[in-house]
Amino acid sequence: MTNAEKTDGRQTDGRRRGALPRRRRSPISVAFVVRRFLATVVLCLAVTFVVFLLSNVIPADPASANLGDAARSDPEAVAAFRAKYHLDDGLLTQYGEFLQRLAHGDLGTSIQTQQPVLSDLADRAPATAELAIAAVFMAVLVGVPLGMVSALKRDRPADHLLRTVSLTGMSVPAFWLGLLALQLFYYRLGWVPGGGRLPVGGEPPPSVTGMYTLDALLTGRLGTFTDAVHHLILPALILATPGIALLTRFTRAAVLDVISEDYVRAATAKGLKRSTVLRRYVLRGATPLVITVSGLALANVFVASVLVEQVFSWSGLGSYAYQSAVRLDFPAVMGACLCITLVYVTINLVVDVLYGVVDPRIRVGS
Amino acid sequence: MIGAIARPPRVSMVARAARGNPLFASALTVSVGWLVVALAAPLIAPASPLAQSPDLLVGPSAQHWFGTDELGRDVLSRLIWGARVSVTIALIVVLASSLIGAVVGGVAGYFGGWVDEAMMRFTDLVFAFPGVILALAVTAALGPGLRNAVIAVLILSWPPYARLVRGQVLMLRGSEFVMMARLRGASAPRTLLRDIAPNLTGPMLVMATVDVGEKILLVAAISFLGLGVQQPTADWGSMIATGTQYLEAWWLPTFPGLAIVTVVLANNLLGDRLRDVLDPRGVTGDRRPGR
Amino acid sequence: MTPVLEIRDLRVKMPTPRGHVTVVDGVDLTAEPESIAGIAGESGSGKTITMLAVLGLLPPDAIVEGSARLAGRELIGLPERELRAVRGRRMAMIFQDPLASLHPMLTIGRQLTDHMRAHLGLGRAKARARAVELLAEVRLPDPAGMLDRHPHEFSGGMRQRVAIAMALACEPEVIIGDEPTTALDVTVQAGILRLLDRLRRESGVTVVLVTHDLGVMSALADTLSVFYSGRVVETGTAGTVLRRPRHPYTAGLLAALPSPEAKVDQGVRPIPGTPPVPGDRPSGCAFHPRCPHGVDQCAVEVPAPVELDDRHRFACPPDPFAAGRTS
Repeated sequence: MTNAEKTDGRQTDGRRRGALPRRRRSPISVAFVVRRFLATVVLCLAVTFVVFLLSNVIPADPASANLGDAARSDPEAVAAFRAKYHLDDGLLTQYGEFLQRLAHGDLGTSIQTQQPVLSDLADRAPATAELAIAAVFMAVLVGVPLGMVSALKRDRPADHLLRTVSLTGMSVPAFWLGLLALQLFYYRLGWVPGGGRLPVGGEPPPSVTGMYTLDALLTGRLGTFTDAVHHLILPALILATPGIALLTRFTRAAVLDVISEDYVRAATAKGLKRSTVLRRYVLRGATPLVITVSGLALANVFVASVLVEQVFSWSGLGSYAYQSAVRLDFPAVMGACLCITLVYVTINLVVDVLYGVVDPRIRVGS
Repeated sequence: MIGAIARPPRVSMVARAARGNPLFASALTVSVGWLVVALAAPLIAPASPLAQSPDLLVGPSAQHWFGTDELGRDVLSRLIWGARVSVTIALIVVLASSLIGAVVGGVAGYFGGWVDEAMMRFTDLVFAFPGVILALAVTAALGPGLRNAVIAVLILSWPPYARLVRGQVLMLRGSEFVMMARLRGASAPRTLLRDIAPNLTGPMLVMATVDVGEKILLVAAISFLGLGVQQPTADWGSMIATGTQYLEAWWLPTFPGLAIVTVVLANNLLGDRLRDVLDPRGVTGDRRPGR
Repeated sequence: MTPVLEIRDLRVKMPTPRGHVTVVDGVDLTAEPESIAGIAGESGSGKTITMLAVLGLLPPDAIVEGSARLAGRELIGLPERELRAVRGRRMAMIFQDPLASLHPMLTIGRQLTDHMRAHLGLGRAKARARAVELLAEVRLPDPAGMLDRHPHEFSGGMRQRVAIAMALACEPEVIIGDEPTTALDVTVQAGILRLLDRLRRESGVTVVLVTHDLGVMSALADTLSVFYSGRVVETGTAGTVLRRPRHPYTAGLLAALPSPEAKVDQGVRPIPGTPPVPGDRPSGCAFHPRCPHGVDQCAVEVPAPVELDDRHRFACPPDPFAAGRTS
């Protein structure tokens, strides 16, 4: 079930009449979480299966796809690879083996870095997380208020402007926007650094979370913190652009939906201030959708990082995937794809569960 | 809503959408304009997209309106030929995926039961994959290149159509006018095609219009990653990619990027407006946030 | 007795894609203190719009003209800030669907107390204590336990009791009930109506009861006004109007009622035709195309109200047929 469907479903579900009064209150229905969790597990398995198919079955010769150029011309290495990964066994057996290797964290060895793919990914994940979180933060901070304004000024000039701008924001390739921004703000104006996470030669803060800004703060290195923020702003803003557009659009729709609800009219009829009605009743009513869309924006940011990180030389998962793809570093590409997809799927699960926490009606379960 | 019959879209309806709506009219102009550019590329382009000249990385001038690239090729000409690639791929993908989606959704909706359940679960599964990533993995496995990029995009693109068609078929299957047709002795598949298809064309058109833009974005992204269209073929995504290496040459990424933005934005605007006219019941929904 | 609520010549024009359309056309209504003033009519006849207009709850682009006085004070055209002090405080409203009119994500306690705190300046603890009293007053079990729960946890009837408690919270002079029982199961309806009747007697509140259920009217209402297509076609004490209807529309409504009191051979006689849509109202008396007694004159001019005594008025011309009409 997608989030969009659930948004509709909640209405009918919530409007069931004559629901029995419930005494016990649980924060969220166990059945609901279990159902969503199982769906996510199935999806994760499907992801691994697709990656397995792509890496072990579809390439004409998985051995040469997974081995480097040097090893490819060495028949012994190829034979060893085939033996090691049981390439001559049946498909299901092979998949079982693949899963077993996955469970042990064996994603193969990157041809580029000569490191296990897993440790490469672990090195780079915090950078992407830092960028993605900053981006979504910006997207929510800008997009939600803009969406509210757009809804409250419905069909007035401000609304038309915001709708056009947000539609444009959804039509712009983020990697292109990033490139233009870099050209302007770095190359022409020199306002921002030309990429990377710290100045050249800058020493990363001691690793706690792996996110430079957070680590610098935690260890009290203000200079490093300023540098890290300076490097973070532009890529995060670029990555946030589609999210801002998305949130503006969906917040507008959600607010318009809610504002015509009876309970908003009822709140006004109680003599509450317009600002109170907006804050307590309208915004609260729009929260589930806003949270859902924010979560989707976060998931999408992880995916878009593949395109944007490269532009800003941001050494995260995205640029790892890009560089591996360009150099045909097969195990690395598959590892990165698996990792990003799992993050994407997991965020979607979390969003669904959060949705239930925010909207008490979902707790009833079914 | 049972028995509600949406009229199939007519040219007059599109015309009505355009009248008194300059935004729609200009979006239509831009969208159709790019189609014309794509078709007439050999006639319009001032030079061959592959012809190299000694003027490397020269900015916009009277001779090269949009400047030249690192091999001295005319950016404008490459842009025009690039339209061919982008627009063609997008149209092929949208056409093919709407066909696949219609078949899957039609079969699932018509037969119902476990067939429906199985097919729609599978559709959900595909739907849950992030587009760029799967494209990245598929092209990495099959090898970079246009054909494989198209395959990768196709694998991902059909589920929304399947859902749309299934929903409509489910709604109309039990409706009176389909019952009437069957009572008259029309066979089941015939009924589906004859009576349900006209109801679907409106929403499908709305979805496809927006989807063309989305697919142009996706293909550009894949080419930007170097996995789609290969050099020396002119393509918007790979032209932008070249720009990452020459920050001093602002014209390299700017113009192909603008081309993408105009065509995608035009299609988004068209879709928005067409939805109001052709899909008043909103069966296509708003776009699922970000795909 | 001075009326609590007095509406004179109220006109409302609502915006539509094809310009403004008159949906309420010169409505007069009076509600005496501690009475139940019934308002009947088919859906779309302007009952709800009239009530919303009085409270200033219509969209800002709706045009409202005429007069509505609450205890002598003009409400139409009052600035938003002053209207706010009236809403919920002096005049409260109960909506048709209790599930839709309660916020699904806020606790009952929150929704019961926020206007008390705004209007009466009560602190959190005091407001909650009063909320418990109110819930007890509308006969809900375990009032204290309800405060931290959400509307979906209760049945429709219980939710409507919560909505009534909300309306009572600031001890208003008038409560407008907009079809408060229509969305409820039949078995629950009687309880809610009895509650309204008891509150009127115990707390001296005036209730304006909008409903299309004439049975409810005969049981509860003191006065009755019948709406047709944005106008009041007949008004008077409930007993008079229901027993001796003078307007053919009221008579038609009663004849269409499957009532055990009706003569057996009379049966149920629906009114022919359909009610007019606002914006496409017939000329003259809006009822004339469906009226069994219509004369040519009816299509030309809006009939002036005829006043039998100071309580019973109806808008139908006293023509030669009138005498034989209301047997």
